[in-house]
Amino acid sequence: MAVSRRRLVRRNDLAELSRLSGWLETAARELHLPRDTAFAAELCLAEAVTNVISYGYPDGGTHEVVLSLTREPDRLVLAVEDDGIAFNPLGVAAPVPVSRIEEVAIGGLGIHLIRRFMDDVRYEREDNRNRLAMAVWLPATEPAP
Amino acid sequence: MQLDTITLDGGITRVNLTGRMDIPGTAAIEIKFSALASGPQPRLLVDLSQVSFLASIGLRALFANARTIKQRGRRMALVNPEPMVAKVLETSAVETLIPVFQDLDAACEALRHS
Repeated sequence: MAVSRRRLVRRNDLAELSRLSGWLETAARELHLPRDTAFAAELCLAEAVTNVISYGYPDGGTHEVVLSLTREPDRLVLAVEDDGIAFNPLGVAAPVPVSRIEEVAIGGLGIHLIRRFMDDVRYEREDNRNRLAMAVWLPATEPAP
Repeated sequence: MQLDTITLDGGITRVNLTGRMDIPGTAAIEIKFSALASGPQPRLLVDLSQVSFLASIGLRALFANARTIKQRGRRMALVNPEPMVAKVLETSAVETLIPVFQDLDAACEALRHS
């Protein structure tokens, strides 16, 4: 079975995120991704990239964030790689359930969503680069291309 | 993203959101949405049936507006999210803070009596 891969390089600029959806829509179609899988992929990539752009470069400057999407026979693998400061998003605590809206803590929502929508999430740092790899099982009834 | 409103019986303003609640989409409706949250309408019913995508930036806007509304002694509810959008809401435990309904009549009833 074929493994399809897409790779996208984006500058660390939140405005670039608006182009992410166009790229992902095309990739999802070409990789024959089920609709819900495409939703989960876009959500998790957007949350991961937002975190990198928001927190990874306190010194500013222009950097590149490399995204990849790989369809394996039974799962979709997403990866976000950057050269920002060392940051393990998995070290962020899950939001504590709160009973009053005044106490809602916004931080940690992105990672919490990634953990929920993906089946496997791993972080590693190598050669001064952060790499967040996420994988989700494809529905069993969907035929592979 | 687009936002328009319809006035329903019982002092309810139905807020119809259409499109994607990602960063650009949320930014496109932010001013209008917070103006509604700060305005005089006592009950806001946010219809999510035409929202095809919801990320944490959209959740933050919902929380922020719900907070504003509550501080002014008013009420807000969400209605008819699509399944994947509902999963985002559920993961974020929105329901413990902003009621979510799958039925328009039930949502209106709850808002009128809250």
